[in-house]
Amino acid sequence: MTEDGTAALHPLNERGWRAGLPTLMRAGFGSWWRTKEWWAQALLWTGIINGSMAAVVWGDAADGPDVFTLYGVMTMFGAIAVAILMQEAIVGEKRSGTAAWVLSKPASREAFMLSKLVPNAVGVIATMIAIPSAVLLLQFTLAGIETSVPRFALGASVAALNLLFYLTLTLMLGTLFDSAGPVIAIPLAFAFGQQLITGIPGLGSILPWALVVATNEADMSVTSAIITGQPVTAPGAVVVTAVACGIFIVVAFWKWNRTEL
Amino acid sequence: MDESDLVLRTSALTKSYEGSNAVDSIDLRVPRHSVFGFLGPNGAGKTTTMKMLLGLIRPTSGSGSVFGLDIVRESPEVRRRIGYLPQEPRFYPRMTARETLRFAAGFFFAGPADRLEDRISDMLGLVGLEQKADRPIRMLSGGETQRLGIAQAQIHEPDLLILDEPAAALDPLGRRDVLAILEQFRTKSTVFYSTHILDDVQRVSDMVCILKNGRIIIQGPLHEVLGGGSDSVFTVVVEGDVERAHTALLDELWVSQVTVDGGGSSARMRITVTDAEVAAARLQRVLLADEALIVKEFTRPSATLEQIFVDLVEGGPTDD
Repeated sequence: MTEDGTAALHPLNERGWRAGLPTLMRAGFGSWWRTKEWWAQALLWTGIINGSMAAVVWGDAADGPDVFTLYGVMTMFGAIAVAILMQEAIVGEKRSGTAAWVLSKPASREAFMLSKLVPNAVGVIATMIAIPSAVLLLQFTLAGIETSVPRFALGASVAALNLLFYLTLTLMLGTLFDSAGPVIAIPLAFAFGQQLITGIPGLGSILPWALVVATNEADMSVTSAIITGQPVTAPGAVVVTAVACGIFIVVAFWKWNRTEL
Repeated sequence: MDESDLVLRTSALTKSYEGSNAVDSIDLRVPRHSVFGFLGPNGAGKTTTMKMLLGLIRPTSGSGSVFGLDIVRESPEVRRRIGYLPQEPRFYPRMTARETLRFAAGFFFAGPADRLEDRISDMLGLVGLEQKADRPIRMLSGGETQRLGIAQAQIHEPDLLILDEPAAALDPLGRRDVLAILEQFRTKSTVFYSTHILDDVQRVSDMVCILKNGRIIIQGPLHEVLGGGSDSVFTVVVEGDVERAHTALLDELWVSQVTVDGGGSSARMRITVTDAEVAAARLQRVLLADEALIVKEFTRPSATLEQIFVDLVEGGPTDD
């Protein structure tokens, strides 16, 4: 490699799970931030969340807990959107053959999965939670509603955990199935089905639903409770959701390492 | 063949799905700097074999090595030295051709951006995609996507190119260009490719392997396969003392069999030899040692690869 343009290029020697990681991460983040994806999503969710919130913020119940209840409920729509957005992340690449093409390069399967997990998690949290939440804080300031920024940030983080639950669930299902049907159907069925099963004693305070929506056992969602400084009545939901995310990630990596392409 | 000259070898490599062997105990031997044609009807196991070599599919049993590296345990190292073109290449539609090459190059080397861009431009030029380099992939035709596939496979100047049907989606001019690229590549590295286009194999390959129902039915240098194996057959029509010519031929060590059609003073003789080169040089001299004998015809019939492929595939091993 001396006279053909590669003279000053040096070979990469990334080993183990890091093999191919920088390139895959660059591509993963690029799919959000170097395309119209980020601003399209940010615009959409700012419109949905902040548009709905504007009606309440400048309405009759401006300083009541309903404002923050609505905020939590609105982020639930984002969680459903995550499942829809992510349904093709793994299955689509398996079906189209791009996963086989990428993994014919010196790239580890762990790096491939990380490049689906991390950039998408950052992308959806930034566009569906962080940007609308920042705009919401501005709305509160303009409307004269006093809010503790640290508590609001912590509450928004809990809403983000709810998004991560659906993101990791959808990624894991992508490794387990070869068609998009179950990959989208199971998260959506779970998202909507929680309304029905939160009435079962013991479940109302531990399902991810309780993070952003009030249930029979928790009359205020975890997000609302944190933002308004009220006692959190469903801390189990935070633990269960975080553990579930961890399990989904472990299963996704385990299965992906055994998938034949 | 010297084992140290092999860049790729497999031993009883097998892949089974639900008890049925898609690839059945194959022993491949691919010499360095060869253009190795990997042939077989649809479903013969060619793509499965290639994917096992690349670590995309795990073998059920047997083993394989590329450059002495185990295809299962040392797969990332193997892939570092291989360029691969899938059968129906699919790239990220959001990327342009140039971005696709930049992405592919990122797995192999780093360095000054201008050097990298020079390398990418060279590759785009090689496959004639300079004018369409900045169009999204989804706007490329099937043939252009195929050519981009060849460029990305070569971006790191691999020691071994594995190409799955590289000319399948191309028009005749595109095929000609691909064959020219393969021939260029022979001097630098080794090409292992599958194809259905037997004319192409006959034009550029020096080694061939024919697979049927997951099993190898023939493997070797192209000239041997075309010659029906290590033995070659010559045909002569002679006039004179046929019996004496028959005896003289059988006295030669490199003649394994002589059959005679016709009798009297004129006959067609079919001479099977063990060394075609020696036979080509000496056969007529042996016959013309009898000054009274007249050689009216002298031919060395050569079969086309297509004839051999059809004969072998129709008559080779079956599933049962």
